[in-house]
Amino acid sequence: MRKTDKVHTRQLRKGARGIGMAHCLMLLLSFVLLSCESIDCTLNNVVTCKYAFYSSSDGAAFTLADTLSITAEGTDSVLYNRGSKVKSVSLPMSYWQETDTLNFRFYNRETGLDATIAIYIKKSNTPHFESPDCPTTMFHELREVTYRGEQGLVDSVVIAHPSVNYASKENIKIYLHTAD
Amino acid sequence: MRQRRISRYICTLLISLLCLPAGAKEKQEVIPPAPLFCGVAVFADLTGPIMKAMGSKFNQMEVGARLNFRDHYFPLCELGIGESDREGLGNSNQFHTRAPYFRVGMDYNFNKKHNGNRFMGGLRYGFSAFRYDFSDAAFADPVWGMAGESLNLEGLRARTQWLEFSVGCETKLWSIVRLGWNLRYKARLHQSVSHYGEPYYTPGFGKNGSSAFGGTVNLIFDIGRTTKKHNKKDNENIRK
Repeated sequence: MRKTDKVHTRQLRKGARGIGMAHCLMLLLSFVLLSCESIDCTLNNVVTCKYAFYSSSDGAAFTLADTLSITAEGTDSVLYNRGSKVKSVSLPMSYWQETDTLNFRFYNRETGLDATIAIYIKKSNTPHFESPDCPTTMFHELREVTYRGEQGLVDSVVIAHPSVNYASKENIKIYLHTAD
Repeated sequence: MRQRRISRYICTLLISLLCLPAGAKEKQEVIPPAPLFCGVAVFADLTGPIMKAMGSKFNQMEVGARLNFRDHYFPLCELGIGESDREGLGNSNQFHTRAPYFRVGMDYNFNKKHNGNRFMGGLRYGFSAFRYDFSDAAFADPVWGMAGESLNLEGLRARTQWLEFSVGCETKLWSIVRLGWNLRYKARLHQSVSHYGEPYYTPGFGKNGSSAFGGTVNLIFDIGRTTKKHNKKDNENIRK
């Protein structure tokens, strides 16, 4: 073998070794890239329906002077217990029922008020997932809201935003007869 | 006499200086152009089987074919099957999908010498229409608590299109066998998913998101009518 050939072969081997090293590094980097992972769950992952109180006379937001308690039919749980100076309240919805019935009890020792109204919420339920690592939740789409109960307390109940999801918007507006 | 000699030296120097770049240019142009059609190659990605053997959360088996024009232009297509079986961390959620994906695009070889090494840059368009399953065995209403309502969503449909920008290199190992790697940045163009939720993994794209990084290590086999001739030329060029 000539001297130049030897030098050339040595250079080729050196080059091949370098390329081999580069290939190994790239193989390693590919695995790292493909196996990198982070958990991206929504921070606000609680789905609640927000009820807000308004005055029927001027349509402005209203703060209750009474004590408010809320229970739901079909469960023994008290969803909201003896809240005072309430402007709005966020409550969970049932996962599988087509209609939720909530009993709003207004109580005031000074005025002697003790009235309960039942609000019926018709809705559709859609399971929702973000990722296998995040908790699964249920989204809802409000269809119809009606009420029954004490005359002269509630003026009307309307749907403000029908989608009940992670966005904490006012979903239902309750207009109350208020003394001006 | 002396002045004439000096002027002769200056003239010779100037002429030689003018000729030097021209000579160098001629030397550069000696590299003969590759034929228009240099053959066909088929390749397979080695990372998929290795990742599957290692029990990765997702893996993709991929093969492809490409044409070689002038040893610079490589129109190609890639076909693969992506698979993911993923359990949630600390919960009972499970995600599953297994579906094919396709890519078409072109690589460009930046190496001007035909010495067997290629430095590639490329662009690909990827597409996958697939179905995925999601289940949560412990999905229960925390307030009303109605029994036995575990969540089991099967056959949810999704379609994803994306672009891939790649850089990489490859080299000849032996005869028709080559080894190459590339790194890819993937940008999602469009995705339609089920209203229940997005898939955790998109076949061919990787973990679902607006963009992703990836890479392949390809074992390449040069086949086709001009391969042998070209290999001979390659060898001659290496010796030169």
